[in-house]
Amino acid sequence: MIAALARAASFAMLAVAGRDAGDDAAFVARARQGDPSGFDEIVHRHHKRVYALAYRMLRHPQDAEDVTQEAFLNAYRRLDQLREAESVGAWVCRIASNLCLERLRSPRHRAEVPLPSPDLAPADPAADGETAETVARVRAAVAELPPKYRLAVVAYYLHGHSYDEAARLIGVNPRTFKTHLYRARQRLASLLEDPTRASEEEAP
Amino acid sequence: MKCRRAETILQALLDGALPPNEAARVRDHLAACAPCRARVDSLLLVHEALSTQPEPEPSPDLATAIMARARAERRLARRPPLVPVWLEGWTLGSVGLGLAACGLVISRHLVAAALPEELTAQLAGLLPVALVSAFGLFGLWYYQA
Repeated sequence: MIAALARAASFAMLAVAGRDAGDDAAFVARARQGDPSGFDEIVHRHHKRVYALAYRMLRHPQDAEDVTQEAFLNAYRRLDQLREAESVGAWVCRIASNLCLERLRSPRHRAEVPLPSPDLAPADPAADGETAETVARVRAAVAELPPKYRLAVVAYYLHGHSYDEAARLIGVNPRTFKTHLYRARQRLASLLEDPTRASEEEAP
Repeated sequence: MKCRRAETILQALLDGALPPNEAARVRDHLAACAPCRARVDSLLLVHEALSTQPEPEPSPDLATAIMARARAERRLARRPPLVPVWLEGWTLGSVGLGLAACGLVISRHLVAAALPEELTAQLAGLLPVALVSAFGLFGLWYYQA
């Protein structure tokens, strides 16, 4: 019974995903023909996802909004170069990922200010103090990861816990993606076990 | 199974990406290895902390701002260039400087001929500045509109 329900749910999700992809392709076609409402729809559908990725990477609301705008405008200028019109959302995410990496690697990147961010708050307010502190520590420690590891963690936990989907979003091959994700979590786990060890640990 | 190999496999187990036979081998290893059991606990905590993060929300006018910028780009792209491409850059700069110099000389003569002497000295300097400013404002208006 449960298996049948799960199968039905996954068919329904696939149907929704297929319909969304079809809509995206239609909006891209409209935008390419010069109809501004086509691009408006693309922005409307995907800007929250792109913003969330940029925010988790840069941990600064204004920087995240700047990157989101820049990513969509880059996409708009290069819309003719997009090969898979149905993947326009993933494409913009990929552009935003690269912009975030560029910013993080730039020597002029502003020092990250630890924000009173909703990201750092524990999800369950009833969690005991120790658990809440651990959760906050893990989330804050993501900012200490090297940018490519941080990107892997952000993409995986933001976009459906799928290696292939997350790898596609940030434009790396799934094998490399898995390595980055595993190493990132290794470092975070080491930090929990022994805060002084995490920075020294080098994964194999 | 060695602990180092187990660590990689533990992560796949965490993600539900491990075939059943591999999962059984990891469980056997865990039953006999206290450090790996501790590692699983830490990895689980990390996984939980990252899985339950609330999704950050952008400001409500972000989408509108992006759409407006895209429309502005579109208008700009459709506008014919103010000057031909071959005139841009250094060519345009040189021609502009030449014109400004001519304008300066001519305007001094015109002003000197048309006005009483006491006003000439003050206005002669202002006229070319006004001409250049008007030209600049027109350029700004053209590209912003």
